[in-house]
Amino acid sequence: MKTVTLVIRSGPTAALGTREMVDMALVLATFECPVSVVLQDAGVLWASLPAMPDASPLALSGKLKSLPLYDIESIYVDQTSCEQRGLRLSDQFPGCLASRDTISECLASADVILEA
Amino acid sequence: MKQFAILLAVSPDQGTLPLRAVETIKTALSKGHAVFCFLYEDGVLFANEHRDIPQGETDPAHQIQQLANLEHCEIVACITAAERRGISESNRFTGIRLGGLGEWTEQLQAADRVVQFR
Repeated sequence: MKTVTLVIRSGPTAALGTREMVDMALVLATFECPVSVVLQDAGVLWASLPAMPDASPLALSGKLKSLPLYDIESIYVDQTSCEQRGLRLSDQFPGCLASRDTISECLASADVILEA
Repeated sequence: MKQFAILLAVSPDQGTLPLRAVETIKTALSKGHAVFCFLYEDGVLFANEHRDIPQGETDPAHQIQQLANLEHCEIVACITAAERRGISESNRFTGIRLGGLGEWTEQLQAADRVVQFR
């Protein structure tokens, strides 16, 4: 089974595509494909948001919080990108801050890397 | 023969990237490889049969649609992303069918090489 890493680099102001790529990650995980998620650049903004109502364009923040329910446990938030933006992770966000080295290792070990 | 799984997630009008995707698919087929191309996000607009662009301009969507008729080339548009963007059974190009993310997952797992254009 190939392993997949989804790198989210687009923030909440970007187009619909980020939400659709997260949907893809959830489907991959449902089919028992091992999935990791990396939030980098403007993508780290998702990790700082509270849960939003389903009707909101920002509802993806809630979907990201549910990643562990789909057995997506490896969720890395780029520490450097957070520092550059002065961000702190939301208490409810399931991921952890990670160094560039850790993220590099994650990417190197993935069979497939997809970007959102 | 190698199996390519290509995720095409850009609009046909998004600069030169769609043309690079077309060239990648053409080259893979010319080398005797098989291609499964999944249209996702704005890439589902490649499946629109009713695009009408100014005379003299190159339309990557038309080129993709031509490739869909070739042997060892299968092109599928995500049904959810397509419906969101007004593409349905009534206006899709006949050589491109609508399918789900489950099919993409199977193709991704079976492929020798996965390429994303986004």
